Parts: sequence; structure tokens; C-alpha cells
Amino acid sequence: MIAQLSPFTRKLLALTILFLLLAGVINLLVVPLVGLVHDNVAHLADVRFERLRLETIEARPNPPPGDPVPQELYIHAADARAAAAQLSSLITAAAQGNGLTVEQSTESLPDPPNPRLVAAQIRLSGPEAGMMRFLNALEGGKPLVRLAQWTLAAPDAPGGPMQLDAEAVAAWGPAR
Amino acid sequence: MPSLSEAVQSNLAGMIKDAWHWWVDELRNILPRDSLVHFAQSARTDVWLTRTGVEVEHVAGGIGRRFANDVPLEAFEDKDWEQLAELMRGSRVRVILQPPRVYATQVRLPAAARTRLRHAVALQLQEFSPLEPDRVDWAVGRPKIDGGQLAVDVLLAKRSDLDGLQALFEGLELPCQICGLAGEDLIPLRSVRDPAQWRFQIPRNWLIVAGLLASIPFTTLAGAAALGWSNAAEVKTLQEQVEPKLALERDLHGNEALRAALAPLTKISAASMLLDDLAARLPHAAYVKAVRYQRDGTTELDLVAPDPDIVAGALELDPLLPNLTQVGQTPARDNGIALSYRASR
Repeated sequence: MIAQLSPFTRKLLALTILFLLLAGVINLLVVPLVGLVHDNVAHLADVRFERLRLETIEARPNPPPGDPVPQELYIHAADARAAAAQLSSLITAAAQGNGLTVEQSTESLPDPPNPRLVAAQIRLSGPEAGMMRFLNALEGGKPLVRLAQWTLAAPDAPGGPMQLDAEAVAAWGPAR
Repeated sequence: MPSLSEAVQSNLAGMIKDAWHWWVDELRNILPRDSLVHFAQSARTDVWLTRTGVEVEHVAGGIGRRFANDVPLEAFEDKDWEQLAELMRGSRVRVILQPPRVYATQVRLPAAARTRLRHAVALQLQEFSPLEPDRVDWAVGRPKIDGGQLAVDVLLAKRSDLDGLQALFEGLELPCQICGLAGEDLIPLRSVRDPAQWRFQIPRNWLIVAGLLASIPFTTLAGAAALGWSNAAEVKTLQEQVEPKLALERDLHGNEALRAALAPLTKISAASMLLDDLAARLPHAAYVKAVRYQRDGTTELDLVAPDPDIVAGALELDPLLPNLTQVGQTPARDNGIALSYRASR
């Protein structure tokens, strides 16, 4: 069959077979090998960078000891979500302990955002005396809680409940 | 009589062999003749075995020299072999047989036989071989087209003669190619050592270079693995050493972040403090309707009182209501006046 082909066609066929063989060798051997070498060299570069980073850390002087932040000033929690839940529980307990009705208490992001702050939107209602006791207890107790913005409205009619809409904010950190 | 499976296997092996020879020949014909060998090594030594002795033609660096010895190769003494080996070393060596030690003839074949040249010649070997075919080694030269047919030079030599020569050169560890003269062409008959080995022995430096190049990925791999292992061990040791310092730094950073978070909280006035302050300052007749504290520190106050002047006097010096301004005043029920104030930092 091959003998019936022209000399040019036979040479073209031989070169095509050679090309296919080379392509097979490249795809089956060269490309995976190059990938393997690349991965190993990249891993070596990563390890070297890590070693350099640690050597730099080791070379720098120890930081001066700083005064720790008083632990009673912030909520002790493992993360922001747990801290926000603690703040919400704190507010609810203080409100209910002073005879207030908690109409709403939802966790929210502080404004401006700060990874060490948690916030809660609250709406409370109740008598004036209870409201004052609640605020004194919340803002005067531990941890430090402040109302970043708030509106306190007197009742329209005498003897009615006061209403407080506020955003309460507190700091949080891991327990030491 | 061979079995059917043996016949099929034999036929298949023959087809594969033919295909291989066809492919290699086609590729070889594409390249200029002996280009690779000449490119790799230019020194050449031709050892002509004549009727009376040996003639050696040595060409190196474009300079040719001829030597002659009246003694047949088989009768060489040690000093003759040393001289010959000196010439052969580092060059492409061909040991060339001439008639009557070889017999050359030309066979004409159909052009279609080009791809199965050896088979076609083998079929006719019996007709032109001066000896029994199983006692000769034979080789074909490059076919030429002549009048629509293939003209092929066929060279035959006694197998025992070639065996003796091969054993002689192998014993002396002198690689070479044993050729025969057919007309003006030299046709390779046998190679001392493997033909492929002979072929690639000449470009040895090239083989070394190719081997070194091929070893680069593997040496890189091995080097990267060794260095990576060594660095990883150092990293582990360093991690243990710097961990107390990192813990201390994390502690400090945590404290700084907490201080930064607590700082704005301490600047916010406590709502209870402002309400207590208002209760203490405002006259009893005044009635606070609403207090609003904005994020920017602005405080808005809505109240109802019978006398605005008394209220203004009570609040204007309040440090918790800086920059206090009255922003509204309207009549209210029960002879009161609704007042609105705004204090801003």
C-alpha cells in the first residue's frame, strides 16, 4: 500500500509519524515532568520564604511588655458572633430585671465597622423609673456598654410606657 | 510445518520489522547522507584490506595520510596493532573488504519493491549467490531508479570471514564498521558491537551533552526535594523558637486592638448621665417629650415648659449640651410652650 504512494507522500507520512511520536513523548513525559519540577521548585520557594520570615522574626527584639487592657471592660468571647450574642443576652437580662419589655433585640454590625466591636439594635418600653435603672445598670456596669445612638420618647398620655430605641455597642476580646 | 499461530506471529513480526525499516529509511533519506556522523566527528580511518596486505587512510582535521603494510591483517604483530589502534582511536573506522573477499552484483527489481527491498532481494538470493545463502552475509546499497525499475547493488561476503574479522576487532576492543566495496560505493556489512552502538559511539560527546540535559529535570527534582526537606526541618525548629515571641506579639496586638475599639466608646456620653443631668437642671414644670442622641454627638431635645427663658437659663451652661441652640418654639396645650433644642459637639 505504501509503495503506491508518491515519494513526497511517503516522506510526509514518515515525518507525520515522527511528529506524532514526539508529541506523544512531550505530552506523556515532558509535560508531567516539567509540572512536577515546577511544583517542587515552587514548594521549595515557599519553604525558603517561610524560613526567611521566621528568621526575620527571630532576629527582631522582643516587644516591650504592655499594660493589659482590664478584662472587665470587654466581653470575653471566642469570636464576634458569640460576643454579639452575649451583648444581646446582657441587655435582655438588664431590661427584664428592671421591669422593661424587650420589643426588639437584634445583633448588628457596628458603624464604622470594627472587628473588635459588636452592636445590637434594641427597642424597649416600660416605666420611667425602670428605664433609668436599666440605663444606669447597663452603662455603669461591666463590661463597658454605650448607646451609640438612641431616642427616648415620653408617653403621649400620663402613666404610659416610655420607649427607647438604641444601638448598644461593646468591645470584645478573647479571655486571657 | 509451523502452526497457524506461529505463522501469524511471524507474519506480524515481519510486518512490524518492515514498517520500522521503511520509516527509518525514509527519515534517513530526508537527511543529507551521513550528516549526523560527519557533524559529530570529522576524523575518519579507512582500513583497506587488499590482496597483499593492509592500506590505511586516515583523515583528521582536513589532513589525510596514507599508510601501507604488506602483512595481512590476520598476521599483524603487536607493534602493528598498536600503530593501527592509535590511528583508529577517536575516529570513525571502516574496515573495507574488496573482491575477492566480497562479491558485488546488481539486481533489478520492480519499483513497487522499494518498501520491501530486503525481502525482494532475499527471494532472489539463491539465484546469484556464489555460495549457499546460509553461508553468506549480504547487504544492499541505496536503490537507484533506472528505466522504471530499481537497480540495487547487493554485496555478499563469507559469513566465516566476517565472523573472524569481527572477533579480531572485538578482541582488541576496536569498534569499527566492516564494509564492502560495490563499484564505487561502500556498503556496510557488519558492525563490531551493535550497529546502533557503533553509530552512536562516534558522537559520544553529544550523547554526554544530551544525557546531561536530560538529567536536568531529575537533578532539579532531587535538589529541590533535598533542599525542601532541609529547609522544612529548619522551619520546624524556628517555629518552636519564635512561638513564644509570636504569642507575646499577638497578645500586644490584641491589647492594642482592644484599646482602639474601647477608645470611641469612652468618648460617648452615657445616656443615663445626660438624663440624670436634665432631670436635675430643668424646672419641675418642664416636661421632656423626647431626647435624641445621634452618632455624630448631636443631641436633640423636645420639651414643654411654661417659660422658655427659665429653660434656656437652666440648660445653656450644661457641659453635656455644648453649643446649645433653640431650634423651635410653638404654643402647646395647657398654656405651655413646646421647645426644641439642639446641642452639637
